[in-house]
Amino acid sequence: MSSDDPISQLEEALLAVDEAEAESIVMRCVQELTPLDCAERVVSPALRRIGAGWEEGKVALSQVYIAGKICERMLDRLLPETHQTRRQRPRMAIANLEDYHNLGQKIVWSVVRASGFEIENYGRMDAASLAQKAGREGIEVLFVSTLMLRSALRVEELRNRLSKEASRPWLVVGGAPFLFDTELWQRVGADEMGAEASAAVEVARRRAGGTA
Amino acid sequence: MRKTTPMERVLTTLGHKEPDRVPVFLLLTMHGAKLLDLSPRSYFGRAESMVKAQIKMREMLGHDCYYGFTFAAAEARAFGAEIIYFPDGPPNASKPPVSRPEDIDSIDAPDIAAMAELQEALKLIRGLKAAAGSDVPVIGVVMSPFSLPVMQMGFEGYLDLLMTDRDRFWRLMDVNRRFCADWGNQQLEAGATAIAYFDPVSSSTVITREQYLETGQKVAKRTLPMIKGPTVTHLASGRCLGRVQDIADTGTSGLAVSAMDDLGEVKHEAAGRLSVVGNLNGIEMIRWTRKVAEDRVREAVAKAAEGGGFVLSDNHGELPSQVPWDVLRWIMDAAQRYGRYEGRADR
Repeated sequence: MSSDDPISQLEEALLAVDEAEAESIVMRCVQELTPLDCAERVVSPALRRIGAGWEEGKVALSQVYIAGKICERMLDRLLPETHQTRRQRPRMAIANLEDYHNLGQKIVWSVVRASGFEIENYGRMDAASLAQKAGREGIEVLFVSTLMLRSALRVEELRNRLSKEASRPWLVVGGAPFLFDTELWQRVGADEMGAEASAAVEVARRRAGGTA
Repeated sequence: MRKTTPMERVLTTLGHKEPDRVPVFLLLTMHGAKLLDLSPRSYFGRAESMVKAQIKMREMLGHDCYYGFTFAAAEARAFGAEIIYFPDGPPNASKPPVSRPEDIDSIDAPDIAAMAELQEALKLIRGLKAAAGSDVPVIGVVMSPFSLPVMQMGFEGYLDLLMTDRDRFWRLMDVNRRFCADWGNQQLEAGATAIAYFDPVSSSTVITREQYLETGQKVAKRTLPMIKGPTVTHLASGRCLGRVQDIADTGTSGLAVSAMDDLGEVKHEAAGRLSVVGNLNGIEMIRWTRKVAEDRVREAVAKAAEGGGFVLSDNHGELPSQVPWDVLRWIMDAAQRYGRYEGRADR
């Protein structure tokens, strides 16, 4: 390991897909911090750096995917030991809007959970069903992942339907169409766009009002 | 003086010489359905409609190829996927047919003759070849054996296979390679001039260079020699900087460049071993003004036209039907105006 900083060490281990080393770093961390604090102060920043690397073209999606899975698994194992649960607020959900490719959705879900937040995974849904379910379940932040352009354009319909629900979730979109046209999220009426998975964690912290 | 044909233009640039102007590939699929006011299911279900539309679109726009591609999910259909038709987008494959890694143990290459969607694509190519003669390139498409599993297994399931079960991964590659080569060769026999080898999983967007050298590159090196005609590797918007020479080592003739990569840097990295194709942003194109279209074309020409080895095109391999006809005309006008090799202002 080239650095004494646990965030850099964890980032390196995750990029090398060295799960044993990643676990060793996190175990050292939880000797001084609770698992949730470790998730916030070490795991989440490491994942954010990996996500930023992907956005810059320096890190591959396969690395982002595995890093999220490894960290999510570690927290799943650690939390019960300390009787802690993931942060329940804001109430969040992620859905794949009409696409049959769910990798982006899975990555965001893993990264958010690895960072200590709970998030529902609604799977693949159409705009009407998604708006109803999010409204019924009191979702405060709704992440929508799309791969196909036609699905991205469906966000406008989702936005219109959500506006009729009593709760008006904060709507965050992500996926390839939004990366290739950085104005698209505004045109379809989303509240913001995430360029990579760890942006969702920042949204969660912000929408929690800093109380998470 | 006889006008240069599109075929001459394209062959000259692929030979790394400068033709009269930069050739332009407008890779149009769903626009054909829009033109004929047909549903995608009706349009893709009848080769005669697709041939008619491709001919008409080239008459309207003046680009330099016919596109013999229908939709990627047709190959997944061959392996058992269902096809979902949408009114406003290309047909998709639904639930992946390979739901467990164990399914790979009994999978076999499907019989192309029995696949209606693939047979319509062959009729399309035959019809385009009849119209093109030797004057216009007809482009066929195959999904690489390495990228097809995204539709066969789902992206997540495939990445898990790639990273944890190499024996089954290589078995699937063997099956897919036989199918891919057969499918590519049938298109060449039907009249395709060249085959676009769609391989987004090999991009640096998706896997590391180490992973690519261990897997995707090996697959391409074993597959491309089996295809009896020229190929261009297309990463469907995936990045490639840092592995352009690795891709050249597979024996492919060209490389399609993502809008996220600098076209000039990719051409530089190719060092004359590959022609570059691209890299206009088809998603952003939906809202382009005439000025933006001109600026993007001029920029691409300035970065990549020198010395030939460049075809102007979009970065994904398929233009969204939401791109207005006017934008396509503006791109062609700009290519005619700024893509000429003689008397270029930026030289």
